[in-house]
Amino acid sequence: MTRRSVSVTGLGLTTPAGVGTKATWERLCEGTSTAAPDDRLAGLPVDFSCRIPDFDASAAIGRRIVWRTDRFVHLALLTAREALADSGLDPTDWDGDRVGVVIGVGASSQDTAPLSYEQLARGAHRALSPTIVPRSMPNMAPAEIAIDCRATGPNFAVSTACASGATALGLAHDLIISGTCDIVIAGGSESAGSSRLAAGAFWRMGALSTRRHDPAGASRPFDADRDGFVLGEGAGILVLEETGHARARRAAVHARLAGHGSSCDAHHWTSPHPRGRGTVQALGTALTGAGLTPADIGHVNAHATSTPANDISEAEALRTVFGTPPPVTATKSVIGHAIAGAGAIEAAVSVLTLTTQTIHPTANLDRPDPAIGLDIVSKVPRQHRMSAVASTSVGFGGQNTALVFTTA
Amino acid sequence: MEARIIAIVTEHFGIDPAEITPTTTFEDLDMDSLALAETVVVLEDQLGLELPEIEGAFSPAVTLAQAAEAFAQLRATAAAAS
Repeated sequence: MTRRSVSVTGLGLTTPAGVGTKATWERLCEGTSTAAPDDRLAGLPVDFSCRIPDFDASAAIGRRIVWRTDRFVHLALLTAREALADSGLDPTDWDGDRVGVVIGVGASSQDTAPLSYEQLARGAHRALSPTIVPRSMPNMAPAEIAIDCRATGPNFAVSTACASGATALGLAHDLIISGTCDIVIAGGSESAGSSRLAAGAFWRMGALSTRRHDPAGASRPFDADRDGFVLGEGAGILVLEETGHARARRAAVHARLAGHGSSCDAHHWTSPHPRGRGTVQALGTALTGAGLTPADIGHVNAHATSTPANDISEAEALRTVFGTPPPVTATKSVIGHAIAGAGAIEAAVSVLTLTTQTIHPTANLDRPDPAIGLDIVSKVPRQHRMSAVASTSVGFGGQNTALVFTTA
Repeated sequence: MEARIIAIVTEHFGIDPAEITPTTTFEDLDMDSLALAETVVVLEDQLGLELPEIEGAFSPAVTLAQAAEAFAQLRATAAAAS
């Protein structure tokens, strides 16, 4: 019996750079930020974000679903449908018990929470919507996807903060390798940018850039003038499929998810370990699983949030693992930080980087921080020969995931 | 009242008006008990009143017209009592 391996047969992206994979990739390659003033955050100390271009959720996923679900579910459903369409799989014709769904969600999007707490505070108990619980539970993103496409296999949400989307992909990989599933729809979805509480709370802990005079210049990973991250939103979803299963139906394969590693810094509740200990460990595990050495990796899509502490510890981790790291880029410079969506969006971007042999540029790298010491692609896309790429994700709580993709 | 309920069903729940006839039940529209509870929330909000007794009259098996009638009667009773 041949060893099972994991192919990527479908991609879906809904991001501030565009609704859809093609729109997102083209906008990323322009290499400028999407951050702008956001009327949803009007009056807050930080009132800008990276926001998904307006789309009609009712038209896109159906009004009969929209009324009872929050925005992070809308994003997950829309993106899963794109990924499934791209895979060529026909859900009316599959063995649903062999199809899993694993979606990373941090704190969902809490669309109705402000109104609900206000109703509770004034004693208007009958005004509380019966949808509050099922519209906002993180596990509803994978559940609604399953209902939508009759995926009756293992189904769960993963929560590792800003690494959630990447962690979901790692677990999905293992469900396929173990033989539990032949197909897993996996990724992450979140809309912290639409939550006024999230915007206020991240600002209050000092995590957000306060560059209100220049929102488009606010997300500047690895730049000397970086001062925090920019809130974003979005979903990235991949269809992962056992390679023999994909081959049997002659599916087009984008790439292989060759290895993954997860770890915990076990160091501090919010700050990364100063030398990126957990990232080093996760990358090492991912490389071992892929059967590769550091020298095989042609590019790293970095977590690169644009906070002073993250970027320096991540650079240190990459130097530790690679010695002289391969070219790096920072997707968050263009689309901000989609929290649980981020790791999966960056995984999809890593796959596109492999298939196009092109690294999209990092925006706003005007004055590289001399302490970083990385080869960062900036200004224009770079053509680069790569047979393997790595993507790193780091979350509050010290939770880390690294993914390694290889050419199909 | 029936027009108001039909408006909620089509606008809030996104059901095609073409699916609705005088004898349509909530069940016919795939509206479950949670959807009915949400209908009451929206109705009470629009009319600015609370009618807890309505819960018994709104079941998936009743037609939209029956629900409208029950709601109108309870509303009239409440108005007369106050």
